[in-house]
Amino acid sequence: MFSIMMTDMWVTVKKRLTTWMLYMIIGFGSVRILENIVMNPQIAEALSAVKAVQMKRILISLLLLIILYQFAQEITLRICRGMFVCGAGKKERMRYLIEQFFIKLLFSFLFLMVVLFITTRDIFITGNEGAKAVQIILWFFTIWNINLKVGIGIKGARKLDEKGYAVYSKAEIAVNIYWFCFILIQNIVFYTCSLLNFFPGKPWTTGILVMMLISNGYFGVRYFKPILMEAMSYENVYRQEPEKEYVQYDI
Amino acid sequence: MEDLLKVEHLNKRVGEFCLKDISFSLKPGYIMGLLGVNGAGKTTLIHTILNLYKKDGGGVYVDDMEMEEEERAVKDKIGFVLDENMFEESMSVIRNAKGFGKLYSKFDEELFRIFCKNFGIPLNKTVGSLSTGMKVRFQLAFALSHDAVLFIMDEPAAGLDPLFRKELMRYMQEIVEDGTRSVLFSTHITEDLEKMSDYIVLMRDGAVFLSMPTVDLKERYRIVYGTKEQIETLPFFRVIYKEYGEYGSYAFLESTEGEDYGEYEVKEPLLEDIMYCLEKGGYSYV
Repeated sequence: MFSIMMTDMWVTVKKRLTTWMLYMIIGFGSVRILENIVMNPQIAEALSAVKAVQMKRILISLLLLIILYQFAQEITLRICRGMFVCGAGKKERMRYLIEQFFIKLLFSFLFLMVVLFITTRDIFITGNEGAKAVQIILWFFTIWNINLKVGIGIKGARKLDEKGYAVYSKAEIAVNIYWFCFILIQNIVFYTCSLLNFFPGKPWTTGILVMMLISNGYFGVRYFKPILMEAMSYENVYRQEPEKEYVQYDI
Repeated sequence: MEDLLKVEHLNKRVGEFCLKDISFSLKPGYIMGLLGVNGAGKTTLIHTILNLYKKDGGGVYVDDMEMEEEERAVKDKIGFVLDENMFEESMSVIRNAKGFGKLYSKFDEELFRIFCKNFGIPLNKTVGSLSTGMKVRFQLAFALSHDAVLFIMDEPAAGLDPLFRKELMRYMQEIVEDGTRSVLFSTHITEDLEKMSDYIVLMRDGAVFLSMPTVDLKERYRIVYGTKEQIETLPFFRVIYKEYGEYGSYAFLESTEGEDYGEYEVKEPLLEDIMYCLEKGGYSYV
């Protein structure tokens, strides 16, 4: 089943490969330009060398998070059609989705870390120990959030209500809007603090860490199963297909 | 004999359309045809039976096991041939079979290879590059390779060349021959049903209009031929539809036991006639 899952994901990747390559080229091109500006002797002198490197890391990690967000929008949680008709039950389908989710999580994390390390020779934005822990936890939950998306079949479209608005479940609204905004705020605060080199003392950092773990953990765990249950439904994922093009013959 | 497939008071709403209180059963060793015009609900019914669509009410039992409660065990017994491809298009035939075959307790790869050879299916070609007919053959080969007892087919003959259509019909007959397996299939081609099916389920607007042995269904109706005047003044009550033509007219009616048609020329209708006349004249007298 693993090979089918990987092929299913790879098919989606292949379809969007050109667009993603374009994102990467534009993204890294922009970073290169900004890097040149930051590393400009006059500006670098004003910022100090350490600050310039830190700014580069911030820019690249933000860019990578945006790219990962785009990836996650395309490679959503989706069971292949065959799993719905072949000899599989709810248990097997749930296992498929969980495996798919954690593979995406692992790939996203590896992508973020490896690219950041290759481009900046470090994976941490600052040298502050507390900030490092906050960064890892924040990345983990950001990646968790952006990957928790119910997929629609390649040919499909969102279910619409009578007024033509897309229909989303409560779990999708909680994850895609409320939790996403909350994560976004946390990222803005973290990156701003990193940029300003403002890190509160140890008790404060510990408090922030605990708060992050509890609040993000709540969202992550609370809506994990409901979102997977949404993706378990053939009707949610594949039913909204366009009209068939071939002619059907009536008597 | 126990029912192999039992559908009880099945209800399902899909957008504006709904399946209403569908009930029928199928014993092992028989072929049942689902008949109905476009939009009658045949595909929706098949999808709901296969638990692709979550039912709103009622139950689907295969070999006395409830579909929702024991989905894996039930699907282990079902072989499917659907009009839309459910396999991975970008993967080869053999990789699909190996991958999805693992989900079945009795999948036999060797047997699958033999069927593919017999059906002329290239094992290393991607499923997406197969023609419509080849996709049907592939699904049939796959269904036959995991020892399914209930074969559910949605428009299997659509898009097939006449030669393989005939072969498919022969396979269907072979499937039920030993009396342990059954086939439920939907089709627009009434000629296939005429030859093959032991039972007919006629659907209309998401409901079962009638479900009965094919022989009884054909016995139930008659077509009476005559001149326009004769047909206009037909003395029989249970007339469902009349059609007048330049070269002759006819009336479609529900026959009653021992009825004497006298001077009229009477014919047993084909399934196509039954569908046409019921559609035109209204589904009445049942």
